[in-house]
Amino acid sequence: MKFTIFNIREETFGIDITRVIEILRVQKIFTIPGLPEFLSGVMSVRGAVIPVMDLRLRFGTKPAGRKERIILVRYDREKIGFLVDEIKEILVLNPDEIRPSPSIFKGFKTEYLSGIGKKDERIVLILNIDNLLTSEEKIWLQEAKELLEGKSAGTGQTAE
Amino acid sequence: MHEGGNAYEVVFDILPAVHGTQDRERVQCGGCAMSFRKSITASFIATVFLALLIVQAIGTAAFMIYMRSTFMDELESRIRYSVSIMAGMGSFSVINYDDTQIDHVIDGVARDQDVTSIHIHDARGKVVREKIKADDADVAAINPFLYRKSLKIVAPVNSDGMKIGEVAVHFSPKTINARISHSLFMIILYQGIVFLFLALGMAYFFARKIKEPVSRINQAIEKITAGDLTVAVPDPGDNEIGSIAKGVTFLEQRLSLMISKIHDTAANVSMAIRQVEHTYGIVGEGIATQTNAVKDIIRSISSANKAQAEVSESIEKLLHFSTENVTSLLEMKATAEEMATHTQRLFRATEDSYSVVLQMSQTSKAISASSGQALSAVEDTSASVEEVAVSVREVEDHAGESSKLAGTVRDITSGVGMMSVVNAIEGIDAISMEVKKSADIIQRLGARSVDIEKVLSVIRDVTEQTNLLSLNAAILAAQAGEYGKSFSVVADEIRALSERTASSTHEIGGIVKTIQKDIKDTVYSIDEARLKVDEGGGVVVKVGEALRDILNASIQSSDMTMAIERATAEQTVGLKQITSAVEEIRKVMNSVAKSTKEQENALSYLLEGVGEVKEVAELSTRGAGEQAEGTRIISRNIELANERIQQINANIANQKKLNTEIVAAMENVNAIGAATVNDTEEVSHSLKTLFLEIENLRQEMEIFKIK
Repeated sequence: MKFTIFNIREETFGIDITRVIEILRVQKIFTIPGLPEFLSGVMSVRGAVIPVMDLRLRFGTKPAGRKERIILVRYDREKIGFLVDEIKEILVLNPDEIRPSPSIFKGFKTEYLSGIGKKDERIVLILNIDNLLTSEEKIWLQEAKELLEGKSAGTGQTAE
Repeated sequence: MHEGGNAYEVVFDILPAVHGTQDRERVQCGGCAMSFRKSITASFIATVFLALLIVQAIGTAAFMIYMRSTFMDELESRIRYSVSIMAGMGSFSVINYDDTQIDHVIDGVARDQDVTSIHIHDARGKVVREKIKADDADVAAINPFLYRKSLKIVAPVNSDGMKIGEVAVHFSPKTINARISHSLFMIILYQGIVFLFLALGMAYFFARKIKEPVSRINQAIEKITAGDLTVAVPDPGDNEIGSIAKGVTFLEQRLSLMISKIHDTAANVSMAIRQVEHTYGIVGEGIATQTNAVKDIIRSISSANKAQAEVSESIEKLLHFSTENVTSLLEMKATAEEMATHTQRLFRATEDSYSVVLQMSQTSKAISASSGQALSAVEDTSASVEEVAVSVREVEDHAGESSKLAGTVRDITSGVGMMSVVNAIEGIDAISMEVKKSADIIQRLGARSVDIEKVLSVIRDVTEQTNLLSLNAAILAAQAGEYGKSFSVVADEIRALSERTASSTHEIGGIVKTIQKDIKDTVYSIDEARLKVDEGGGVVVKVGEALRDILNASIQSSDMTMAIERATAEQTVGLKQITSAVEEIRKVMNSVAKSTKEQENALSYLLEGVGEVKEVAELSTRGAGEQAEGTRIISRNIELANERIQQINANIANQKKLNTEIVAAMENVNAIGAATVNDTEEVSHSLKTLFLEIENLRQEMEIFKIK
């Protein structure tokens, strides 16, 4: 299996590459009032409105500040962008290099993790991105997105 | 070139493979069109037939076995019945040997088609009656349902409870066999016809519903594999083949999307590489300019060195001349001192002569007593005057020599000395100008390295973008699966290159920082050098002043010597007057004897002349003293000048050391510049390779037609 490897602070995380659409530079993010802090807002990627979630705030750390990237992934038939510190590489992990996650790991809730990859001396936390949002938060995001799509459609027409 | 070569080979390895699979597929398709045996229709029909055949065979076999056993039971009961009749009849014929009745029965039984032979034995086994229709040979046939053996039924012939013989009937189930054969033939014929129709129906169905749409999809796939992604895949409806067609359409769209993305990415990368190459060109130019500037600096420093050497030479000459000056001055001093002693002597002699004249005057009153004595005294005086004249001539000679020496000093000081000083000043000005030029060039160099830093930040941006592109390309390649493998190799190469570029950029940044530090050091050194040069210039100006002082002093001294000369000339005139006076005295002395009065007058005149002589001698003494003073001043000034010249020499040596340091720093800058050029060339080379690869990739991608 191939994974997109990125860093949050000193930790290394991986996302299954089949879920990844693209890696983007940080661009203008429209904040939406009333959302929890880790939902940064939405951005426009080639005309599509895509919600952005700050994984660092989601995991209770702060941005390292050196570099920032956005990973665009497929999420529930939608697309969502994850703000992370630095994207390192594409890593191939064999099935025997992936272990199930232990019950408690550094204070993360285990439903975020689908396993732990170990290659040579490196530890990669493999994220289960489907469990990153609670259903309530999904509804919030959906509502915010619809609200904004309506708005942007209106402004888009006037602009054209 | 080697790293790039791999990717190149990989690309070329893969493409023939792709073409190969296309060819193979085409061959297979041709095969399925030609050989019906391999098609699904054939195998399906064959399977159905096999199943039907097995079921029918089992059914037929069961039916046949059932039918045969039924027929057999029937036949056996019939034969048994006939045998029992014959056995019942037989007792009579066995006992009575009356055969007429039994023959009738036997004939009747023998009329049965299945009966082959009938035997009637008595108790001893003797044949009583016998009728054989055919041999009891076993039937030889392939049909598994036929009876192959002839059968035998035996019944005892009893009379009054005693067995008196037996009846044996041999029979073969010929009629059963015939009927079984017939029904088997009919069943097989019927089923054959049914199978034939069924097969035709199924073949038609398959041809209509499966083969035709599949071949249309195949044609579309062939076009897609040949690279035409604009083909519309036919839609045969909402069934299994329809889902395959949708799948193919989806794959085609994905492939075309991916290829267009790869195209875009390749174009982006190629543009980025062009940009990087362009910026590298600028860096190279900047470094070339820098190298030229450094060369200029080194050239100007070496010319400064040359000028310094000239200055040093002039100063050496100056030093030499001033040493000569010192010797001349020492000589002059000695001469002046000698002159002073002579003048002193002259003075003393004058005083002596004065006292003599006084004595003469005093004794003039006694002259009348001793005129001969007086005459001799006058002669003494004449001799003394002669002596004085000689001394004065000596003084004159020495004064002339001294004047000549003073002139030489003046000439040296005003000519060679001033020229040397002027040369030194000019040389130092040239050095100062060159140093200033160097400082300017180095300042420009500093500005250039700031430019390089700007370029580096652009490269850093481009590198980052290339890295992002390579990651995205790797994602695309991974998602494209088998098709993306070749591209994933290229993506890895791009990523490796972007990392290499990043590290090179980092190194170049470090190098540029070092260059900037070196430039700062150089500017500092040059400022110091300029300070030293200014100091040297000041010292040279001071030397010039000192030399002017010397000149003034020697002019003064020369004036004084001239005054001495003049005085001595005057003295000579005086002495001549004295001589003539003495001559007159002698004349007077000759007539002294005649007139004492006359003598007295002459004596007073003489006294007057001697006083004049005394005055001249005093003037000469004062002049000699002044000359000695002037010489002392000159020698002091020359010593000062010597000291200053040595200081200049030390400064110049110092400056030489600084220049060497500057040249070393400049060479360092040059070496670093060359290293940068090397790095840049290496990176540029890698970029060119990458560009070639990307161009290759783009050419490969050109095969695909996209909407």
